[in-house]
Amino acid sequence: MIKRIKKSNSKIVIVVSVLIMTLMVAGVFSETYAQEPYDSIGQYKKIQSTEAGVNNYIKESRAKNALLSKDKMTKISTTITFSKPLTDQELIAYIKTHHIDAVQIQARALQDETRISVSTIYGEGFDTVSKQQLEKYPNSFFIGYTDIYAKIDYSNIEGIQKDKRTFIIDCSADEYFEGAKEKDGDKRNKHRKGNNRYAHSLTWMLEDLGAMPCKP
Amino acid sequence: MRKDKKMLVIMALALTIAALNTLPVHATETAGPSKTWSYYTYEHGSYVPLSGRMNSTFYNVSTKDYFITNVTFSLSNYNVIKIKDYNNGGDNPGEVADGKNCYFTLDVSSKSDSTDDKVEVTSIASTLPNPKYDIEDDNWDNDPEESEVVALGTVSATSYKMTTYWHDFRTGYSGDSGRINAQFSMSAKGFFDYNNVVQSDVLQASFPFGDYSGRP
Repeated sequence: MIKRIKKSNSKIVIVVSVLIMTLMVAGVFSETYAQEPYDSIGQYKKIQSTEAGVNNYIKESRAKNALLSKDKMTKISTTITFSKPLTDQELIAYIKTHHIDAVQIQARALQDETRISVSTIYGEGFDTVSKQQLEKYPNSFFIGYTDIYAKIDYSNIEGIQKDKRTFIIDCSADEYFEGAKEKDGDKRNKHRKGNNRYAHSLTWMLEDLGAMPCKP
Repeated sequence: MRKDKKMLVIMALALTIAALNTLPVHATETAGPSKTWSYYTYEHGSYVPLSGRMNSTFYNVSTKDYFITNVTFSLSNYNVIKIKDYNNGGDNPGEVADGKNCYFTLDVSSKSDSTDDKVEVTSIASTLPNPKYDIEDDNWDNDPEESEVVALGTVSATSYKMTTYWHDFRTGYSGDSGRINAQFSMSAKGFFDYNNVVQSDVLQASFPFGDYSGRP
């Protein structure tokens, strides 16, 4: 009798587990693909590499940022491209002023005419680490920090946007734009992986257009 | 008189501490393993450089040990034609990449001899055009063990370099050892992330590291 109960119990557990897993997978897919799935590189490639194209992209981004502000989203997946390369101290002050949770910072260095792009996880000693690698690039020199991957709160968007050191705040990678509406970005942005977590910065494009000073 | 002596000792001590703090952090530099590859044909991928090298330098520092891996390679005219073909999407070599815009990708990752990575990617640098960097934790142990660069710009038949800065937390425990691998691929947007759509069937370079930090 006990054996029979145990057997039927284990069957129920298996059926319920399969049901739960099916529902979870279905939930993930319906939530993620309710709209066009995000593609950080595909989106970047669609931007016209002209002054008008960049201005248009800024306009689109601002409209998206306004939606995030209206709905009071926090920990928004953000890529900020600076209007000029920043020094160590300028970057630290910028992050502090705008209460930015910095994740990864990008920097520009030059070796003759060749651009060296450096990307470092933000944390204690980020400045030393960013520069130590340049020892492997003879005769190179550090220009400054050009863009940043970060998490920001809606309440700081306006301040960052008004800062003259900001060229663009690009929040397009946030899953809010695929229908995820949790206020907390850590819960909202749970499907993004790898190179798709943050929008690609406009640094290289701006340098090509002569809008970002590449030389000191 | 005694008080004066005491003050002198305190001042001397303070000066010594201050002087020690201004001294540069002492680092012992050791050349680590180096591995080259050389192919006669493009059998490992039309986008794979025929030759290249990955070397390493280990730093034993009083504050935090680290090492830097350095991959150098040259793209041929043939590589460039094929990579541009992949970039454009459409009919790509093979079938899996058809209709996808694929981008030239280099992964440098560590493979630990245990389940816990003791070396962590902290920073990446390269001379590749318009790179998008990903510092990734692929095995879910909260330590990033993969450095990936995807070149969004147009590559040329010239030499390129990618360096990875690894923080070194090895303690001498058996299993802290592992390998560093370098491998080329062409990646495109998958479900959640950018995935290697086609990847070289072999590692281009691979070498081991031991159990102790600050040394190969």
